[in-house]
Amino acid sequence: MDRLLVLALAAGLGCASAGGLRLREGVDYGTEQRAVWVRGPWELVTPSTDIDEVIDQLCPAVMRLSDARGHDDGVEYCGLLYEGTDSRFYASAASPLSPDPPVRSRTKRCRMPVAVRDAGGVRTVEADFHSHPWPNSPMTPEADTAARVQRYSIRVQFDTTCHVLKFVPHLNEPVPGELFERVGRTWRLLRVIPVWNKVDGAIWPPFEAP
Amino acid sequence: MRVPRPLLACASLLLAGSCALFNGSYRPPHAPESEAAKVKFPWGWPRETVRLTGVWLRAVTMALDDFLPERASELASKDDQEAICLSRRDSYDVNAFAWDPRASDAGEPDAGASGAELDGGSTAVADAGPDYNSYQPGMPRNPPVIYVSIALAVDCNPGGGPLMDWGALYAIDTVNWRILAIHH
Repeated sequence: MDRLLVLALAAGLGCASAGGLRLREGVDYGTEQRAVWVRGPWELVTPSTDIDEVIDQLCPAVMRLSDARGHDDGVEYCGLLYEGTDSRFYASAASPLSPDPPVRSRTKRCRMPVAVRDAGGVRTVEADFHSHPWPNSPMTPEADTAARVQRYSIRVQFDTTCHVLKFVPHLNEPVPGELFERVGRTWRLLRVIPVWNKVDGAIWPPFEAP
Repeated sequence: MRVPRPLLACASLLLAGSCALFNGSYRPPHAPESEAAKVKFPWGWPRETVRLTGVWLRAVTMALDDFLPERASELASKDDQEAICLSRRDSYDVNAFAWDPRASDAGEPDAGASGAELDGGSTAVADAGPDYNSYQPGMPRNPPVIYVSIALAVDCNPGGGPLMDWGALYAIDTVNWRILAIHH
């Protein structure tokens, strides 16, 4: 019976491999009409009414995934944070899908999902998140901060040291974008992106990456 | 007021046709003579132009040559419209700039950037003609290191969701002409 329980748990979490947990395409994430969907909720992240409590669990969970710490041989993962019908915030499983071939590279990319499949229901998708497979690897100016790549209210990004950044694009609002880093249990404002720079997402003035 | 950003912008437009300068195996196609004969050329040029000066153009070219897929793989994926789009030079916008980490947070790059000692004797001051600042404001002509930021400028997969990190930041050594580093 215990063995069955372990097997069931393994099936729920994805298969363990030498390089970490491996989520399953077609079950945990997949593609439909050239867009990526992800399954929710993700069992490795406990839902909460406080979205920051969910954000704080993301990096440790994603870093358990296969090759998430693999540097140039690694994998970048993309996922979503959403509000369920019970008003709690949930994390989806993370997808490694990318147009890139899985080869050694100094640049890693993933396609941000556009939908969560949760039988319990999804009220709204609040945020997306993605990982970088290196240490000291912050959000990419423009490639991650330009208006054209924003779909949700918040973007969360983290590296293998679990340095967590939060970008609030304030899309379609006449207010500046904001870039924060997680310090303890608070968000420290790093940069304000003026309204006139929000289209490009340029981080100005430049500064040494945190 | 729009803050003047230290950049060499709009490079992709001209680079679309000229970036293969350093790829020896590639020569651009030419229109037939009948079409070429109809083209009219100005004598002189308009007041507003996009000027890409040599060192900056070479730095941007070097970064793009590294960033984009090799030509063989571009041709191999000819049936994948997204792959074709992602491999096109004109799908990207490029910002190029000089930056001194010691001036971090100051917001203004050091225009001299010690280039006088490293760029073969030329200096930013000596190289800068009277109108130089009008087309590359705030940027030295021959900085020893040029940062090249490449960002995808078009949606290559409409409705498919945004691609994260489809871009790169290069540091190009313009003294020895090599890629110093790519920022993760």
